[in-house]
Formats: sequence, C-alpha cells, structure tokens
Amino acid sequence: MNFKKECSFRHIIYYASWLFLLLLGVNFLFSIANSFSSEDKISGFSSDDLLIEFWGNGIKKTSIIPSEEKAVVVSNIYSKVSVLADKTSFKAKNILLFALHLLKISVVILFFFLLTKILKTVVDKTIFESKNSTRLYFMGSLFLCIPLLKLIQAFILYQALLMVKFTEQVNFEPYTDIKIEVILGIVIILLGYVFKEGTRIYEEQKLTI
Amino acid sequence: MAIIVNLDVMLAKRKMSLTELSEQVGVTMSNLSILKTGKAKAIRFSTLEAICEALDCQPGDILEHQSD
Repeated sequence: MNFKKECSFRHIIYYASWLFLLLLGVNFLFSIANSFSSEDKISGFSSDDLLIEFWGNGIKKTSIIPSEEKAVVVSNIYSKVSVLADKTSFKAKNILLFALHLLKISVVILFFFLLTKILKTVVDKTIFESKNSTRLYFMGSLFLCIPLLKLIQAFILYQALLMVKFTEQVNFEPYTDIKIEVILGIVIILLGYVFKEGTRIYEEQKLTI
Repeated sequence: MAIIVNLDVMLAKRKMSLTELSEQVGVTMSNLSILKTGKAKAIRFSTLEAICEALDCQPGDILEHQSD
C-alpha cells in the first residue's frame, strides 16, 4: 500500500465522510435509545405533571420580568406539562413527532451515504460517470424533503402544544427555518444538471479519436 | 448513424492488420476498434490524415454518408 498516495486530500475527505456517516448512525441509535429513557421519565411523574420531550424545533419563551420576554430557539422542547386533552391522542402525536425526527435523520444519513459514493468516484478518478448526476438529483430532492418534513413536524407540534399546559414558567412555540435546506436542495439539483452536461462532454471527448 | 466508417474494408483492401495500422498511425488499438465499430463520436483531422497516409487513400474511402 502506498501510504503517501492513500493520504491525499481526496482520500482524507472520503474517510471523513464515512466517519461522519458513522456518527449520524450513532445519533440515530441514540435518538431511539433516548426515546425509551424518556418513557421511563414520563412514568415517574403523576399523570397530571409529565416531563415530556417534544421532537421538534421550538422557541422557548421565559418571562422573568412580566413585560420582557426572552426567546431562545431550542432543538427539542423538554419541559413539565399537564395534558389538557385526550392523553392517547396526545401520545400518538408525540410518537408521530418522534417518527418524523427519525425520518429526518434517515434522510440525512441517505444524503451522506450518496455523498460518500460520489467521493469514492473522486478517489477512483472516475468522477464523470452518469450515475453521479443521478445521485446529485436524488441528493437535491432529499434535501428538499427535509423542509417538507420540518413543516409537517411544526404543524403536529403546534397541535400537540395546544393540548398541554406548561407547569413551569415557560411557554413554547413551534419554530421552522427552511431557507438553507431549500437553497441547498435547489443548488444541488442545478449541480446535477451541470454534472450531466459535463458527463456528456466528457463521454464525447473520450470517444473522439 | 448516418456516417459509416469503412476502415475494415480499406484494411482488407490494403491487406493490413489493425495492429500494423495502430503502429503506423500512433493510435491505440482500443481507439481504432472504437472507430472501426462505429462507436466513435468524432474524429480529429490529424488522425484522419494519418490513417489516409498509412492506407494511401482519401477520407471519402474511409467515411461514407448513408441517409436513414
């Protein structure tokens, strides 16, 4: 094995992408494990005072001084609540939120898996192949799926938050920021088009005698 | 394809093998095979000139247009 050749920049990026993919997988498993531990926490409280984790972005509003509200964006809402409505319906909504959260992670894992496939072609110096443009289209579409999942999650979170009353001095609202995902998704799809054209020119050049 | 490559015909007429042509023209065997089988997308003037010189023929003897 040629060590110097194996340690080039593209090799490092390729191995880093696999490492990142591994970390995402661990995050996925950790989320599942954490959900089970949350169930234990719920059972430890009385039915009117539950410690709940809502899987979705939210804005935490704390009113320290009545006239002044301090707002902070949190990745998951985690607070003590008393459920006002039907508990089964509330639990179903919470499970749905968790499922959407896992789906979001799965989409990101799939995105990075496709990225490692592209990086493999970079390592092998066969980057201009038709499969890569298809991969880029798919990756862009996946990126555009994330805002959609986020919006659905925010909608369900909004409904779930209507069913509870926070027992602590805080208030939560759903929060969604989809600008980056939409822009990146469109850019990746455009890159796919450019790549398709590049592959066509490369093939033509290769078949010019 | 509308353009037909008659390289095999010319090679047979000159009683020359593809290997010999490859050596004379300086084009690899795989590239000449691509040209012979009609898979090539384009041919450079320099390659065409070299082939014509090696086979002592005109470009029209190698390339032919056929309407679909």
